Amino acid sequence: MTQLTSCYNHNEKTNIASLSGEANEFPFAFWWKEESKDKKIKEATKSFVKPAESLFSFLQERNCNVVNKETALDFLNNNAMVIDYLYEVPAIIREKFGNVKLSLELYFDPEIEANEGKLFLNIETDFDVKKAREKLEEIDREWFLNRVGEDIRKFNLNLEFI
Amino acid sequence: MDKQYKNSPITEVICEFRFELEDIFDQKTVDLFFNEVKDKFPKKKRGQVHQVNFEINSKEQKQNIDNSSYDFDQFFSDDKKKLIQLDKERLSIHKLKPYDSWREFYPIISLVFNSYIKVIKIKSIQRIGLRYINNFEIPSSSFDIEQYFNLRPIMEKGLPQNLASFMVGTVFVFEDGRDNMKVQFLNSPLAGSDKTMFVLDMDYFLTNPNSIQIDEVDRWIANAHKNVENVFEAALKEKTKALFD
Repeated sequence: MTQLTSCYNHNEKTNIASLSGEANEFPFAFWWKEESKDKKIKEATKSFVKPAESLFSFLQERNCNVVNKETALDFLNNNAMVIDYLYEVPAIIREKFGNVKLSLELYFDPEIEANEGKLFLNIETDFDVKKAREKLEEIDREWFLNRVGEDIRKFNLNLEFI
Repeated sequence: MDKQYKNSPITEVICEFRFELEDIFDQKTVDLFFNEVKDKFPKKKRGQVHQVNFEINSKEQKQNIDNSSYDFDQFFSDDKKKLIQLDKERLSIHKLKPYDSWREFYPIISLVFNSYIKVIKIKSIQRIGLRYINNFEIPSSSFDIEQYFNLRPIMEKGLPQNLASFMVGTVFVFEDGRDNMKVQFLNSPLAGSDKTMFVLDMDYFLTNPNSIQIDEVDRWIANAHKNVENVFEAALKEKTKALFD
């Protein structure tokens, strides 16, 4: 019998593709996607959804810790549009707050039964309250409010003062 | 898959067409197309593709990097769970989770395809792809893969029997080589310590350009779906399928 035994450390970057020095969850699948130089003909049927797994690597490289990846992954699989926002927002936060620590976490309202939660991107800042709120309002005005999709309501930015 | 599961593992289904065009594709084409589909896909958006091309001239030891991007059109349903991507000669229809059934998805493919060929004259069909991406979890971190999957790596005597991870990939041949199905099956290290996550990605496509005509498209898609469904049902054992019911 062939046994599959998961032995990854789920809280840290996993050193799978050790040659590159970076965790790379699906090296074979990505390599195989391009079958021919003639992309029009042979390239795989293009998916719209960017794999959430790649998003987590992207966020980790941008100083963002993903709290409880498993539930966040479930949420993102059900709300694929949110993935796009998460690719955009780290650069916008860095522009306003500098190179701060971020954490992505799914919160559930205990008063609502069977809700799927709301995703929060927490910004750790040492700005004073007034300045931090001003910066957050700037992000709201310049970026957040321009996003018209319904899924944006399932995503929020939050300040954590250090 | 058409056998309806209560908790379907499908995260995205895509039906994509690549054409050779007779007419010039311009903004008027986009407007006419939108007019045909706007009842079902009323929300418009511009998508963007980024391209980076490297050109290395070894004689002059020069490296040219061409970093460019171009826009294409996207049309979303009200709930944003269905969308069309229109990129000149490439047309794709996507259904995101939750996937209901083929009976609901197929008429949408038909509407979008017929709308496209109504507004622009095509010379030939270069490729059609019907792709199903499934994500699911086995609620255990250590188990015998024989109990869960028929599609799996076979480790003969002498090879270690304890695997930390696997990736299985194959291209199946259908309809005497006219169609292929690329199947990739792998487990992801992302799941928590008490679960293991799997991705089963099936891309059924027309192998050679210009091998079917417009009036054969309906039949091709129905057949593609049947073949994808058969492979899905055969790849997983009942113990796995029970997790979706």
